[in-house]
Amino acid sequence: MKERTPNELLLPFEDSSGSRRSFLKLVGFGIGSASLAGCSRGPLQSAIPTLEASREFVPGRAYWIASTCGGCDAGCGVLAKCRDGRPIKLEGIPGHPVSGGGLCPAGQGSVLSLYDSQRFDGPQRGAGGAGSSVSWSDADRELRSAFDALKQSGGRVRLLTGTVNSPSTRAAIARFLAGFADARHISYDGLSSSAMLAAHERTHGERLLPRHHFERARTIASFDADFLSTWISPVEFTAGYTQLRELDMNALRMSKHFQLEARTSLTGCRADERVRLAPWEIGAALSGLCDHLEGRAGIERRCRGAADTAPYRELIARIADELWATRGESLVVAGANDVEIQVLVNYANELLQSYGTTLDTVHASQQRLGDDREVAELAQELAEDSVDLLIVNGVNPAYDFGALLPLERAGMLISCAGAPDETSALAAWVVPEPHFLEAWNDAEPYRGVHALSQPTVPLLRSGRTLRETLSRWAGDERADQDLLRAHWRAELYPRSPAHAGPSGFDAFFDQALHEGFVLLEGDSSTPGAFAMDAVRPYSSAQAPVAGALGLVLYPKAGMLDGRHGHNPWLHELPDPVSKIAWDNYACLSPTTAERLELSEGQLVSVVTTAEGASVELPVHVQRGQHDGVVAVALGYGRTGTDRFTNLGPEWLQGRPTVEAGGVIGANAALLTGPLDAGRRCDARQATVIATGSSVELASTQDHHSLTVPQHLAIEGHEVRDMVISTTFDDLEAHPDDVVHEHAVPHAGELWKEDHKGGTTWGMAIDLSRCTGCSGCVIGCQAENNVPVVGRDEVLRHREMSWLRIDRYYQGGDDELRTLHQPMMCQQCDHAPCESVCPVLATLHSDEGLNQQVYNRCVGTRYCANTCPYKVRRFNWFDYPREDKLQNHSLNPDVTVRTRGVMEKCSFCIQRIQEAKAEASREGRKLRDGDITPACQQSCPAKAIVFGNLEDPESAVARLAASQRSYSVLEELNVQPSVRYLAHVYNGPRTKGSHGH
Amino acid sequence: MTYRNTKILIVCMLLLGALVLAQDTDIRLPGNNQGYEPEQPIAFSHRLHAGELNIDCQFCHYGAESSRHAGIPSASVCMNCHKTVTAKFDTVLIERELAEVEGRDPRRIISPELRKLYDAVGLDENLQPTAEGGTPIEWVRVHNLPDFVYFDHRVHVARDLACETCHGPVGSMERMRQFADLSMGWCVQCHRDTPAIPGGPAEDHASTDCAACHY
Repeated sequence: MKERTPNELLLPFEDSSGSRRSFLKLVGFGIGSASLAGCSRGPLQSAIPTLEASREFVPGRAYWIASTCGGCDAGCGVLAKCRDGRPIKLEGIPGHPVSGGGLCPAGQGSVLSLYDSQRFDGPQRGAGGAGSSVSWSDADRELRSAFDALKQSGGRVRLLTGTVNSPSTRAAIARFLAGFADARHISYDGLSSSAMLAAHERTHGERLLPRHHFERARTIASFDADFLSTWISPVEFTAGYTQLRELDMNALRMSKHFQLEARTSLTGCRADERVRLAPWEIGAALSGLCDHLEGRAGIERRCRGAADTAPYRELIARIADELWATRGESLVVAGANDVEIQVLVNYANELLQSYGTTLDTVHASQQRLGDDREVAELAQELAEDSVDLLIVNGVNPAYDFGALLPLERAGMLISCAGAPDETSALAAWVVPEPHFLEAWNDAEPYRGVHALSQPTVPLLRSGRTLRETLSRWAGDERADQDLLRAHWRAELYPRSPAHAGPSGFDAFFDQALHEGFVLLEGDSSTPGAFAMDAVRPYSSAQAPVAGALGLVLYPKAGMLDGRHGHNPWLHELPDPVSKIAWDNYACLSPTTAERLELSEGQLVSVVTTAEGASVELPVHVQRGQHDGVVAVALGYGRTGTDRFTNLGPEWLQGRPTVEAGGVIGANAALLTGPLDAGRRCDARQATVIATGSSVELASTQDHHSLTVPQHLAIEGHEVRDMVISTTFDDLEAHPDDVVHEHAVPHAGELWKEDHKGGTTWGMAIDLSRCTGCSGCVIGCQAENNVPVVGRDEVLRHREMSWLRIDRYYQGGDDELRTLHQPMMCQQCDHAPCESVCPVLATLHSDEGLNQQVYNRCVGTRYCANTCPYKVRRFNWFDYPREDKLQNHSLNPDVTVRTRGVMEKCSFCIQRIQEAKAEASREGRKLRDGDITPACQQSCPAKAIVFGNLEDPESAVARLAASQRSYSVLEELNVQPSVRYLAHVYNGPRTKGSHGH
Repeated sequence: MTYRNTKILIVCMLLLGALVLAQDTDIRLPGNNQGYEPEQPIAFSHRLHAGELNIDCQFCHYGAESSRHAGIPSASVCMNCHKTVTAKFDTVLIERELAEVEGRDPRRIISPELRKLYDAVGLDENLQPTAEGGTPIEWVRVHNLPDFVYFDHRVHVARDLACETCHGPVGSMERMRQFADLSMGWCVQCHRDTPAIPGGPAEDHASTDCAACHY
């Protein structure tokens, strides 16, 4: 007799012949048989067709709308994939003049922000969120009368925006401001390039940001510029950079990349040679570099002697040699927002003849136009209570500057934010703008590159673009589209070749809309000759005082300057270097952490020495970082992020992602220091003080480890690295040895070949191209309806991402090398998961795919346990999808999985089936390249190639046959369909094993 | 074997028996909606349109060629014909004769079912647009597969599969009825029996991979 709990004993159903369980079983059978007998109409379902049929919009068929990404100001071209009238996924426009076809994680994630239920719906009077809704006409009337009063009194009007590179919006701004006696448009960037603009004003006589052509740069020296992840136009730079990392075995060539930086950046991880250089040493190092280059150029020495005092003297000399050897195809970049440093960068580039080749000042960049000095002037004006009207659009100054910019002292503050933010909370009026996917817009990211955005969906929330709002206030009642078209008709169309043709403006505009952009000659910058007088060696270096550390503030790929702070996809994206999700943290090098007796997760106060501003953050011990700095990510600590409190599943032991009333991370922007110095992210000093408590950081680094323990390795063989790397010289000399020296014997075949033949879908991932940018991770999440699980579930190793970026360290802190490896289901031919599934829920397809059948899965999780690559994800819960608006971003072509079901990468089977269906419809065979999985589509570096491995002509088969090709954990003989191509450094080889 | 287990065994056997019997009766397994013939908001007759008038299926269900879903036609598709056809021809004829007898112009006759269509499109008695505009028609869905099944019409249309193979004699159905049971076994049987390439070898049949439909 089974022991009974007191509760059971109290139940009335007890009798001698059966327990409560058997009673329930009988009841269950009863219900089951009743449903068998009484079946079986499903619930009544309506099918509601549209009133008007349309050729373009066939239900169930995706259509694509060309637009321009609004995730940041880089102006990448996107195609919005729309289904049934709403965008569900963004993809890069192949061959776009800026981005070339890829997209970054922030761009991929920005589609989710469209369906943010907290966005403003129409204008509001009073503080954001708490204010009262007002109709557009009432708001316009009231505001216009206020403006009229200001025009009478000659009051001071300021418009504060981010970079406005939309020519039509700039025209509207000019028209609006012209009505006031004292009006001014001020712009700044959360991630500022103000110093680069100012430096060119000094050296070239024009405030401009040159276009960087990394695809032409055979030698790159980067001083703390994270150009592959967050710097100015990362997608474009990644695409260009990796073009010269192409390793065609028939024509071997490779660029050389030096990175000198303080923190461990994603770009530093890619570098052929990377050294740790403190921010206060950059000026001296650059002066030294210029000294060497002057010597080689044989011109007047302005930096004489700097080389002798520069840090890393020998390295600097070598960098100078290599740069000089490829002059005309070299590039020097620096991330510091310091005019003196940027002048030296310009000087080095001038000496290297980069202008006109790797740097284009004629078709200059307009991706960042902000001027930090103007913000300092505005702060002064505000402090004097002399600003009568301040209109803020596209930036969040209350978050970026805090008390440094006393917004509340403006006579009237109008916020044009689309969703509640720190600034709109202070505003007297909120006049919301729409999401970029709902609005018309244009942009000119580079002179001559005119990009267009168009609505992909009717306004979900009532909003008006800045252009329309300002025009309305200036008395122009035209609709936004008409304003834009009028500008294009008047300004751009006359300059186009189409102008001479017979087709007319409409055809020109429609063509631009269709392509997403148009290239026009005739508007370019005209910089002057290089002004040598502007150059002087760097002088104002300040090493931190004793006991302090240099403070480095940096953006993360997902959050950037905080504009994506309400995007759960991007919060849950692990940082590609630290692998931490849902937080920012104070990074310290292992040595420094040891010296300060701090360990991972301990809470510290980071206090700036000059102002005493502080934030409280957990410590992250970051290898490869300079010992003298503490690095903190910007973009966190946004107000309102307590909305994520109930993000994860609700259950007994569940802990909230963020405490109620709290925020995610801490706002480090408040540490940037006084405004008159510009938006400096690396020139402050701070002390780090332990608070005594600690938290657990949601790091995914140790989740899903592939490491084979030594005692399980095949006898007589080393445990093989997951990531194989070599050097360019080795590859050139002995191409066959790259992978073969790691070859492992196969223990024999367990399975008989029963493959039908003809098609085996496979993938090749070139680790030499992959930068770890994580665009693919978010692309996969958007495509495959991967849920967000929340911080607590991430801590429990239950993140659901089908595709992860594994990070491997190699070498010590001084010569740290970091390798990234995208890891997803390897679609093994001899898949261990298939043989352990008791219900045949995972099994092999005739095309070599490892299929996962959700409706068969009963959730034993045997497959996940047996998977050597640890890529299977289990639905521990029905992850909340309560935000009905956000559910509009779900891909209707992929099942939303329920609790108790295993899932994993499917090689985007829905795209395979779509391509097959289209081919069959067109009566043709599938062609190589017809199928592009979401990860491949998103990759700016073109590191991922998908196709049929059995077709010898396919791109993937050619890559799989490369000498660099290997499979991870080959010793297990599971015959994965994903081939990795060994990473190649253009530099000296480091010996030593990979740490995990 | 305990008494309890015997009881459970007997119940199971009874259920099995019931299942066997169910083959010949109207009782079906859960999810099988064969024969489902719901009433629709407008008494649209497939017998008249597809049967008597012999209108091609894809004239209205044009999505079948290009999309996963065949689609239920928009009201504007109906209006292609019903702009002029407002009632049955014989009622129109009767009105004409009556008008001739009474010596007046024939009135426009609108059948009650088509009135519902015009209401949906937003047309008044004289078939002029109303100020309020229209509201889409809420048809009752007949064929409904579970959410984890992705059936694709366009592949089957591309293979010249007759619509009647799965949808049955639609031309004789006054009201639309689910003809086949649309079960997985029914799908797979056809896939097993049909060569992948028309006229191709029998063993190279249409895909029976799980991922052909489940993803």
